[in-house]
Amino acid sequence: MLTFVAKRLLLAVPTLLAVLTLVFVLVRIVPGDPTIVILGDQASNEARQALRERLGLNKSIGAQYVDFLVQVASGDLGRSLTTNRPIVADVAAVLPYTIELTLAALFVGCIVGIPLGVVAAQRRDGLVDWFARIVSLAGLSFPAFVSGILLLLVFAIQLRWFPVISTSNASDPLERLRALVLPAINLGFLMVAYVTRVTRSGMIKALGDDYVRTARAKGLVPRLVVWRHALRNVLVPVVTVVGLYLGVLIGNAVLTEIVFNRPGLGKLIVTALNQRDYALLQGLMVVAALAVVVANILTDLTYGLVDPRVKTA
Amino acid sequence: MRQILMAATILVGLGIGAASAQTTLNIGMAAADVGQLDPHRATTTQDKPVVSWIFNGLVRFKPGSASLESLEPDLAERWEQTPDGLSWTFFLRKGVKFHGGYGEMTADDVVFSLRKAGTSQTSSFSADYASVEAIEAVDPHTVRIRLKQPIPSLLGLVANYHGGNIVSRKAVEALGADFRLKPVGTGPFAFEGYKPGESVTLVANKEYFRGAPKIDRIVYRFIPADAARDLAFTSGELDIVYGRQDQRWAERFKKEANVVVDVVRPAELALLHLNTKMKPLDDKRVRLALAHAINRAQIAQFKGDLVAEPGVSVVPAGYLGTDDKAPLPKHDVAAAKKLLAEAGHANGVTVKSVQTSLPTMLNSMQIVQNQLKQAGIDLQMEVVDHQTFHANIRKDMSGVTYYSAARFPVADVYLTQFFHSNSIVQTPTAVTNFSHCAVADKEIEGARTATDPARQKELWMQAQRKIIDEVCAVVLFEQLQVWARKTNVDLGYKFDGAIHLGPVITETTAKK
Repeated sequence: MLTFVAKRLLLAVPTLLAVLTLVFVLVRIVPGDPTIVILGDQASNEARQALRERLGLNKSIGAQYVDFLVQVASGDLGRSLTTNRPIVADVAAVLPYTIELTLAALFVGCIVGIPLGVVAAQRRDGLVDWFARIVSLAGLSFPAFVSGILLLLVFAIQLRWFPVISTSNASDPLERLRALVLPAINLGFLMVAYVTRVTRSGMIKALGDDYVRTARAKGLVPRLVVWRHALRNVLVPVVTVVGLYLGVLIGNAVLTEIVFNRPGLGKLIVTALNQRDYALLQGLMVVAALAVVVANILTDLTYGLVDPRVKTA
Repeated sequence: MRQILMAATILVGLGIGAASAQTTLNIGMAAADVGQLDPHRATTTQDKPVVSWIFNGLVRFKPGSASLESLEPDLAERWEQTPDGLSWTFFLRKGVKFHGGYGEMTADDVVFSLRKAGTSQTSSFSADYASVEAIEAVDPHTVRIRLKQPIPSLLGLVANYHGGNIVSRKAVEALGADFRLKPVGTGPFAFEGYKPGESVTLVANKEYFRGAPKIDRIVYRFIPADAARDLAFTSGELDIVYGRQDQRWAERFKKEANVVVDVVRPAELALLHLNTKMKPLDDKRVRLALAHAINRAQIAQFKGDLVAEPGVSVVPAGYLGTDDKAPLPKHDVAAAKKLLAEAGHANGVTVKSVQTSLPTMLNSMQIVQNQLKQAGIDLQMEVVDHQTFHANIRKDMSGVTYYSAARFPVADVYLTQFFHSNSIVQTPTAVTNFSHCAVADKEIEGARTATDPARQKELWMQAQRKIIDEVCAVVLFEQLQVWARKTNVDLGYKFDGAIHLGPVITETTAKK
């Protein structure tokens, strides 16, 4: 397994390099000037030019690219142009929140989506099946900022069960959990949609297979037939979807982070882009790309757990 | 005996509880993050209020006022100037301490601060100090400023605003570049912590020279999403919130129980800068036609009378030197069409504009576009994101530039930055002269050094009238600042003005 992980990480290097290069070039093509953000709109051209020289922004793009590669190769993501803070510190400050939210959304997605998909398949065209299909459609079509506001209006303002804005100042773990619930549901809604669909269609097929008919004929309890035998075979495509959309979750988290005012990687990327903070944006995109690579590796490893026939050599 | 011990324990516990109960003020700001808190670099709307809670100047704007006439002693107890106006001497308060154990504020810190403020590598406001010849410490509590030419409004340069904020020399030298996010001042609140994208926390400076603050802690939260910020305020998680400069928003929150909505000056003046070097706007008749096509009153009405007023001149109303009776071109569509015909555009004319996608600015321009259409002027807008807008207008790419800004409340600053030839875009000394206006340089420079206040006002008035006559810019409206707070927050003063773009939290501010 270690060999497998090492091979996959090595293969990730050219991927990361490609992402880095693309971000490096694209950010510099987009119009905008970080010196206006740093110095404000009352600063003269002279002052901005002097700052560009100090930040090395007056060098050719090629020279800036080489400087950047050398820096990254030595493990240094550099410093933010606007705050001068080490980018590693900024990433370390927000990454735990992104991981927390993504895992919570994943949990919501699986804990709701898998049972809902199973029951919908068992009672095809029944009330539960229709409900599952509507939930799935809503999850895919509802914009996250709309569902987020609705959740806040109902559960935070009317019922006062949860806070409106998240705070990392909460030293009490229960308070922190309370602040995570609504954002997790908001982001998890998308995951519920995907997982329900894949589980439902997989279960419909599995429940019609010969081995299930045989298990029923042998007199096995229906609950065991469905949850132990049929579902086991459906989990592989479910894991595939979860792994595939984990990257989507990380990207989609930005809207949830903004609506619920949670710190996070996505929100920081948007801020860096708005401020034309090239250095911060590059560093964050490296981390985001690495996160997707790690997610894919974990997905591949999970196959082995779910289906012993799959070996990770 | 056991009961006595239990009672004593309860009493002590209650006492400790009462002593440790802290008053925290939660403030919500419409921004994703702080810019920087070095006061000589803090230019953004979100940074300026925080800076005002941490720093002092030699003089200060009276809390709640944005008027130069309200300037009063702050770190300086008194001051003198020579009859020729070329030398000012400030006598400092004794025993004022910097935060964080950085010692007593002395003349050395003042000299260091003002020199730093006047240096382009360490200040975004260095141009304001171009007429300062020397700053010296006469003794540990006396500072002398010598000028190249008289500056009648010098007190504005040493006020608790922009470059006038006094920093600790030791702290700046010790912290270096980190000072921008670990500021050290003498104000009522000291910097405690910063969480990226979340908040800045300040704690009360118990040794503040005006008295210990009643508020123990300020948590300044960055909440860029309007809906989240409004809901957090409604739910009580925020005590003070940056309001939307929107009539409906102000009306909605005015109706809410336990809420006070403050609408204050200085306002941001919205102008249409007309590029006099770009066809067809290089023809004054076309520019005048554009000015006649604009209906200022209608735009202000659209914005709402609670949060906007029609502009009065090319300098915001209420500034020292604003010409309140400036002869602005009247709304007259027939006159506009006649001028266009005289200029050879009887069938209409097209003008181009680079425009920001920020909703509050874009919707104003859509009104303008519609008004211009009535006169046969087709305004084609290239809508881009806000950073691209700022970059492109400075590259002289726009024929019509909509720009909304407030500045230090003296006509000189606005006229210099927007209408002096030194500030023309794409030049080395460029600031924000998008129109390439150069008709009033003599009057602007003359007013800057005039020692007679009446003569100074006369020169400023002449400058404004020349600029209006040349149609370098068309005056639109003034957008007032909007804040909301819970009624249990007593600012400690009458909130009429916010020179720092937010309520000043002083030692007298309290939360019941």
